[in-house]
Amino acid sequence: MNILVLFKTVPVWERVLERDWEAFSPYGDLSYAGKEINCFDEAALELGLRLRDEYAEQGKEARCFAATAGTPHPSFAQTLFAAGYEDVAVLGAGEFEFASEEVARLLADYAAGGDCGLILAGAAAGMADTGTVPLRVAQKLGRTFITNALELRARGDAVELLCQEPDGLYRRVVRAPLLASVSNSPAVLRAATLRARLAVRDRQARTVWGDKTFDGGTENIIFSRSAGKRVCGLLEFTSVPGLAKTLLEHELSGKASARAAQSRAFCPPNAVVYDTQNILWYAAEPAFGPLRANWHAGKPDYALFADTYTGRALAYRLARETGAFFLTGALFAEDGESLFRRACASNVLARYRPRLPAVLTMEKLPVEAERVSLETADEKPPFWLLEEEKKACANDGLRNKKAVVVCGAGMGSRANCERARELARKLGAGFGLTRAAALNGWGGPGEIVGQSGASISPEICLVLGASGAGAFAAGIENAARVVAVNSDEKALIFRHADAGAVADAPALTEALLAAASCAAR
Amino acid sequence: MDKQELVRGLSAAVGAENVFADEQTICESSKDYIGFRIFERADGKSFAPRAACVVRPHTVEEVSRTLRFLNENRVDVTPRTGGSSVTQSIEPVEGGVILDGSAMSGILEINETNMTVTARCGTPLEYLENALNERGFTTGHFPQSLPMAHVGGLVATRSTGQFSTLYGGIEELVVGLEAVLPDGTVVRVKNVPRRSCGPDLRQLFIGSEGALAFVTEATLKLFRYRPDERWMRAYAVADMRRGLEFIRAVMADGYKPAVVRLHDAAEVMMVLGMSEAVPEGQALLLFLCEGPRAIAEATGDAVAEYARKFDAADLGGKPVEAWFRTRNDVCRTLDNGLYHEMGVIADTCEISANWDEIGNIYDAVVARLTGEVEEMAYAGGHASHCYAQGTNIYFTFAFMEEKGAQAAEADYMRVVAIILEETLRRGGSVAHHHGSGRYRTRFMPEEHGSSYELMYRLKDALDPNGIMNKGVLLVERK
Repeated sequence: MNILVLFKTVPVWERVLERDWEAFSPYGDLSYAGKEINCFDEAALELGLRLRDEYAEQGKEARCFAATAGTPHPSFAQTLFAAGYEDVAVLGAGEFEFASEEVARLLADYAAGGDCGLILAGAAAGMADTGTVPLRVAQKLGRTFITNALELRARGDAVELLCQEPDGLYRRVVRAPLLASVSNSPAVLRAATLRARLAVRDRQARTVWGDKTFDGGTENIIFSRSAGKRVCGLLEFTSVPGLAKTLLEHELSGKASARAAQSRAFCPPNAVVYDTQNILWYAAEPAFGPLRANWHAGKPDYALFADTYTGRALAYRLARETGAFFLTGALFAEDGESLFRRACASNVLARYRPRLPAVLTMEKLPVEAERVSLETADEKPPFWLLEEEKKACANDGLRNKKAVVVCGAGMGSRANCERARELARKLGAGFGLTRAAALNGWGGPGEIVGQSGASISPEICLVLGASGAGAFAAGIENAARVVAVNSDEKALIFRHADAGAVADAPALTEALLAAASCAAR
Repeated sequence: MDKQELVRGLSAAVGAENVFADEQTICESSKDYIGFRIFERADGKSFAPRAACVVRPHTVEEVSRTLRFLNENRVDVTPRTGGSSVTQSIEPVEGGVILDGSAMSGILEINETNMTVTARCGTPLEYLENALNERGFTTGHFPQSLPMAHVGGLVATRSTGQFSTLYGGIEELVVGLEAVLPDGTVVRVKNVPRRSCGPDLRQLFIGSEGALAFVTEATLKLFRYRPDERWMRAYAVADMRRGLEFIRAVMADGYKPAVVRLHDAAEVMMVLGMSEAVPEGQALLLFLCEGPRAIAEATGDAVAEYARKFDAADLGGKPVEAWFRTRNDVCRTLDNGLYHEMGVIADTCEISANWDEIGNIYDAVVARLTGEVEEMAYAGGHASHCYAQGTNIYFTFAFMEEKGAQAAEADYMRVVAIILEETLRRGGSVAHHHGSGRYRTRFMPEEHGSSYELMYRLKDALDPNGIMNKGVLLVERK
């Protein structure tokens, strides 16, 4: 089997300076921050090699190829050659930022010319963060599309995938050819020896369609810093046990949370919400006919979908067919004329002025809009889905709890995280982790809060030891009240909190546990 | 003495609530971040010795009673506070006791007149620094372990910080201290700016790595905190040799930037990912100057002048700012198993030498690591603590470990031995600031030469029963 992995290099977001976020331009010089292969793509690159190795163990041949749009530094291609990739194709010339359709077209055209049983891509890559490139490529190629893969196994002509979906962990066996997007997999691209690097020193990435350039396309997008709307009041305290008592009696009891009210999604006129929640994930295709008929009958200015697998699949199909403006993960601005979308790992907001008609998948659907429920008539699994099994239920405690405790990497150890988990149990609260903490092995991918995990909206969210990276902050934005604890008073998390304490998070966890026990007695 | 007797005796001495014999506390308190231990843990293995229990005293009297009891019963004891060791210095002796000072936390006095701060051994450096910053002061001491380290450990390991080129290492920052000897005797060295009354007794404890005494309190110098008056600039320079000449010129002519960092081409590409900003094969220099505005500016102006002399390309201030913002982030991901997932053991090893040999050491080490170690995946280095006489090199390396956790320590030591051998061969020191710990002890006789005998004499005088941190600094005598 030939395996093609699509990847993208991005700036190291954590190193980008605040003033460059404030005056963000996708073509500004961020070289000082360094570049890396997007983390989801890196996992996809490693999973491709593992699958190749597994085929080899079974006596079958498999080969790995990589492709990207734009011009990554030559050192990235050498890294991939040294790791075991046979070919690295660089498609087009220049930078392709905020150009998901152009990138998808390049990648699909390239993939169509080869014979790849499996195409892999990171779930979100590039500055725009739309995560729609894999979907677009799959639809252009007419391929089976599987999302949220964590692990892959070789199963003859099929591939077995472990997928973390919003409602749980699934094992699926899917017949090739297919395209899978990789999300919160812990896989990291293997290292290569210096000798292996030396052996590929003279190998270069192959330029394909070097005359195809992209002229930017971001002139109609206005960027702004995504710094949250909260004003953090730092809690003063003389001792950690005293702080714990204050938090327990005031913040965690819900007394303080009444101050904030959840924001409602703005609703423009002539908008229709197409409700896809009754459509099974593999049955989006049969639902398209009724959707198309309804859309043509009413011609709404805005066709709105939930930002889910089926929502995106149907929305993109509709936009392709009708030529409508298309955007994923959108939020209406209050002027009713423009739209926001998170970009650059949720560090900036991109503001678009859409042309009408528009087809959008929304972070939050407006309740006032007319709703059209889409149904699937035939629920029989398609021929390409050979097996499906739910391995574990989703951590619904994250979504349905009044209070949630979230741990970041600043908790320092799995043991400290376990203490915070115990605290959550004691408080009757849900428990979640930042992606960094989950990748430390302190919890499962189903517990991740943030852009690549769950978006939560509890009345109170206690965040312990998280730095406040944009991708995480996006996941707690809808919490009514956020209380953050971090030992670094300059930590970004305080920008996303209503109240904060500059304190050692593990020590405070212990004090909260003690105070909670006293309160229980 | 069996474990039960030991726990009973210690409970009687300091209270049962301060003695922990549970598996989890013992494991967490024994955790060291040397590269092969991180790899072993990620592999689900634990080859570190197991202590019988952990004692967490709250007062100097409790430390005294604990040590007296252990000394009388000849029980091995390993001191620790923040637990950021990367040298196996806080790994216990099998069946021994871990004396954990992390509960002895708190700032005792900020003396703005005398420009000193006194803190207990378990005071987290980050907490101390935040508290001082609020009042307009700083310790000037910023090791990468800042989010983890406590005051006692910093003193005991002879720590240094990222701003050491201006402020010096901890040995220049400690004004006075309090320590408890193995027999329970409490000794204090008073706070004065300088004196001439015999050898400087503070230095007995600074860098003693818990082998002579337990440091319970320290008084550190204060400096004005002026974050708004920093001068920052990055340069690309032809290679490491040229970069070292650049730094030498700055230092030898008497300038003192706070931060001077020279990263080689391997680090630029593999660690910093800055291949687009720095021309291929070139090294990266980062400078940060601070202090009163006039001094910071004058120092910065001088650095810029040297940059012109050494044909270094100006990359602006952003690379320094970006480094500054994320410089300690590694503390949050030390045990995340990332390298294990990649199949490598990765770590750093810092050495120092005079200017006439430091470049030779760098070249020799890189040549041997890349030429002799087939499994080497990466070898690079940077200089980051500079003096008029020389500098350190912080070697950074990663090698493939395909034989599994059982082989990790031996393979790791094979790599480290290359670095330390080449350093000793050229008259350098095998440990610039991480200390000896246990993994470097076998190199200590050659490191110290004829003066090594003094270490044994000190040990015999202060710890005649040899209970304190056995295995660090001193090769066991037959």
